[in-house]
Amino acid sequence: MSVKVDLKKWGRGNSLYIAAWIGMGITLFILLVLKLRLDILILIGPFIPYLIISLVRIRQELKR
Amino acid sequence: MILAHITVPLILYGFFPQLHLLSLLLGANISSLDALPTLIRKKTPKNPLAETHAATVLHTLFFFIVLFIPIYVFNPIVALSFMIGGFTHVLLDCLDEKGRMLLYPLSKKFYGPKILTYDFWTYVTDKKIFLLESSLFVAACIVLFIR
Repeated sequence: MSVKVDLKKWGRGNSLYIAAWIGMGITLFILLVLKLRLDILILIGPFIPYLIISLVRIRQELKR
Repeated sequence: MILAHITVPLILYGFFPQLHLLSLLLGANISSLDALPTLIRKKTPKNPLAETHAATVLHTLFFFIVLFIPIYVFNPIVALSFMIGGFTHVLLDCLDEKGRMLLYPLSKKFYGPKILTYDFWTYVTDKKIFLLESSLFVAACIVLFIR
């Protein structure tokens, strides 16, 4: 079911699509912050190291 | 599933506003804590299905049933919301090709309809999945604006 994709080539041709994914994530985060206020820290706190590691890994994989 | 672990609990919250939102979202995301070995690995395995992620007790219904009891003593609504959130995570995840250990501890076999892809990049580059995730996103935004 997995398909091999050239990420760099794919990314150049689908920048709007990538922006839509990121946009959805950021919008959802902002809406949750507005809804949960400071309680958002309880939700995202344990995942902050994961987020940093993920961003580094994604950058590394895109550079390859 | 990526955004669905937030959007699906939000949609549920829209239907059942008596649930505790923070507990629902915490339950729906705590399972992802077992992704650490995957994130810190040095090499991407040839077979992503052989990874630790989603193969621990955190990705089982049993984990949330066990936690339900002590949390129930503290607050029944929080306990119920946390368990429902956890169930949404495990049941949504079992849609991917790996499946999940739904019958743990009775069986360590992975079950599920296995209709979605498991590999991260294949998942985010699939436009049908994008359509599904964005539809859930729109529904969750509507819920957040209404409530």
